Amino acid sequence: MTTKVTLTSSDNENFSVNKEITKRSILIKNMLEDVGKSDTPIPLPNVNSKVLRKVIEWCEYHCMDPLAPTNENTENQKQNTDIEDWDQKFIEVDQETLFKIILATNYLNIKPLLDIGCKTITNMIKGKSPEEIYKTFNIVNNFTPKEEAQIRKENKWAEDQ
Amino acid sequence: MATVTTGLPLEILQDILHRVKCTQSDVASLCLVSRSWYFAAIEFLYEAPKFTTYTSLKVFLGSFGHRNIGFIKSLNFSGMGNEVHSDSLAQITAAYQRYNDLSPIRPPLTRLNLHGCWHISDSSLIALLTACAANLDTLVINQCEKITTCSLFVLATYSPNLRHLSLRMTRALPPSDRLHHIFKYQRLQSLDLSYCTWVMQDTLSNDISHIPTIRALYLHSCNILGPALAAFVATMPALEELDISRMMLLTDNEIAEVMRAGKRLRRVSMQWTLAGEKTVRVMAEEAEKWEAVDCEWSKIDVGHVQQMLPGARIGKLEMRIR
Repeated sequence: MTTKVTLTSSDNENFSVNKEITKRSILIKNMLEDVGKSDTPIPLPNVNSKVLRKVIEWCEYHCMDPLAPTNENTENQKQNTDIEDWDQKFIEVDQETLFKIILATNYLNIKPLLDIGCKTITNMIKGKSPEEIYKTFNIVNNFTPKEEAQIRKENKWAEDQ
Repeated sequence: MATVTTGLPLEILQDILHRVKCTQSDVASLCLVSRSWYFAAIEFLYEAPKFTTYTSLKVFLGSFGHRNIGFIKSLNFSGMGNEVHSDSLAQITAAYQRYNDLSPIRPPLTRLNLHGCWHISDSSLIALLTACAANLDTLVINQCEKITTCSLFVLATYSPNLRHLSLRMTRALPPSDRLHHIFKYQRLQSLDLSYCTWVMQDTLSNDISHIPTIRALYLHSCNILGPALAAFVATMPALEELDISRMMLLTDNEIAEVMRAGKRLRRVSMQWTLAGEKTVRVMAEEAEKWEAVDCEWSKIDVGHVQQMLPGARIGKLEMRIR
């Protein structure tokens, strides 16, 4: 019989999840080790129910994967921006949800999913001009014209690389 | 925790930037997105600037200001040698001097590669090293024909952390008896003297042998006799890697003696030498210690290796043992 753990989202929705699956999150794994056997729900005040549902979906799909090493990603892993097909479909969400998934996985310490989120943002940036990046992320350019001209001048050497 | 316009924490944004830093133009674009993105991206852009065209190098040198110098860890002008002149180094030196006037922190530059910058003068390199070499770990001045011992004196004085020095194809350095005086307080780990006609037997016995920290020594195409090389190798307590390729004066017997003399030798390149059966025989005496032996275009043939070193993997006669 598998042991269940209850996770409570910031909007007070409870999720009953297989304990082994929750261990994909280093934060939850450490909490479970600290408290020992307990039926008390684990509150996750930084993650809302919509995002938590997505994160659990990812953890369930990847439950058989070997646990990621706790050390930092190697240089090669970071330079690789390929995403597997299932993960690619999983992460096809609106931008707000994408950012929330990244923030949640950073908080929950789920490195492989954080990695997928960062790769997705990287792929959205690659090859784009500053103007295209403003539009993609709905960012307001807050440079003064003088500042912008100065930066363009200083960094012009890197534009054609 | 600092946040950027997108709402992502700075640490995540920097993780993203770490991924895109291989594409310099993408990082340059990010610097122009907003102030927050600029402050997160600018250090990645200047950490190790890459130049693929003469134009980009010229523009870089023309706009090189002290503002971003504090981010530069590596400057690599290899492949752009024709475009780098003494006045180019003077521009960089001036920017570093302004940086030193304004910052209490010494420049973080750890790698300086001037491979093929044959125009540069001794005095321009001396001025640059004086201004920026405090944290230098690696200096490459291959083919810098005008460089003399004066630059090396300054290097030794201003770069206490220097570990790797490459002097390939330099010409104006003295024949011997100077380098160890210069580097006796250093902890040099690798020294590349390939194609240096000024390197002679005395250079090894009187000079390099007094730098016991050396682990890797490259003597490609140097004119040194076998007995002197074997005697020298025997005196180097840390030597693990040796390149004797194209040392045409060495006989098979002499190379065998060199291999025997190097108690800690693990990696040897002996391309285009007379190394043959006797060398393989000596290697077989301690077959387990060799990590890489590159003997392409030597007299060693597959038969010798298969017979005496049956565990060796053979591809183009580049033996990878263990």
